[in-house]
Amino acid sequence: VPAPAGFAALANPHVPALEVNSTRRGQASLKLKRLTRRVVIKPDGRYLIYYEKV
Amino acid sequence: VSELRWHPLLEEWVTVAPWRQDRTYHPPADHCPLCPTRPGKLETEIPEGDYHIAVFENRFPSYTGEQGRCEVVCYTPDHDSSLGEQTIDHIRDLIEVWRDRTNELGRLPNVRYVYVFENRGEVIGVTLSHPHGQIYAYPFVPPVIQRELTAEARHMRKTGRCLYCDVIEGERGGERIVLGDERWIAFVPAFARWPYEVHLAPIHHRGGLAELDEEDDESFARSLKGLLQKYDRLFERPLPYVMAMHQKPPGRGGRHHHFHVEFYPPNRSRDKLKYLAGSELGAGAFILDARAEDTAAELRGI
Repeated sequence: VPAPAGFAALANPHVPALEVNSTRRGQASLKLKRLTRRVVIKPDGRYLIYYEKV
Repeated sequence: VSELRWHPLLEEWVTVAPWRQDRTYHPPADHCPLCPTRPGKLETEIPEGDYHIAVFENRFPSYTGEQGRCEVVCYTPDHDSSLGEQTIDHIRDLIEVWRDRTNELGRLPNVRYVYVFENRGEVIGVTLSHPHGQIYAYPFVPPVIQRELTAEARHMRKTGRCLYCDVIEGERGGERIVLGDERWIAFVPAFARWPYEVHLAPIHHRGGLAELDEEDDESFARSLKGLLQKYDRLFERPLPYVMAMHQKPPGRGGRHHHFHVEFYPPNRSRDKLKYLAGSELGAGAFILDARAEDTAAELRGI
């Protein structure tokens, strides 16, 4: 059984945070109604998202 | 990075992530990594002094990079709170966060399934007591979800109807109802595998969070809070549980799937737990020492 993509190529495991392929599934980024989103990148490369009241 | 190993007998993936052995384990409350950072104290996962709802990449992920994502969702800055103690308004905000993350993670190139869940309580294996949930973006459709999708597709082929819509139709107004309104329903399913297992679902067919409208959201928030309050009143102590959101996979697959949230509290009474043992773990056959009709009546009466 072939491994899912990402497990076959063990090198270069880290994709930049939040990188998405916007055409892959034809899905648009969601428009938030109640909250705002603020993304912060931590020193180790992980993302942190603050969701705040509009 | 994690390693995936194929289980040829069960035909499912096993994920190996040995570094998770070193994850933070029951830190004291004043060293909680999910609290906001307090002046003069060590920086937590959340450097700011306050937040509404925060989401970050798990420091000890099962999947990262091209493999997928593991996120932590901090429901509230209040360490001594819980999901069920949040206001309806706050839970509606959380629903928007869960929806946003489902959408965002579902667009990642290799992600095949986005799973929103919460583990609550030490007996479930929770290592941080701060109220929080998690989101796993898997590079494959997990086996339980896959089995549901297969059953739903088969039912659709045979009857032309949604399987879970039929389940709900069979439960509405019946003796296993726990709570509900005109939009959402909570019930102990006839086929429950845990004594106080509850399914919470939209009555009208919805595939996932993305398909809920504002009235659905309001009803979902109200029902979720109502159920969790009942759980905590059941034995007059915070009830441990696993909360599992079963949404359709991202993209076009699983179009017959009906969104629902499953809750598995491990308690079979106030002081006794149901353990997964020989029959359940070794043979996959659940034996239940309680009738769904009785536990539903207990929960309904609270």
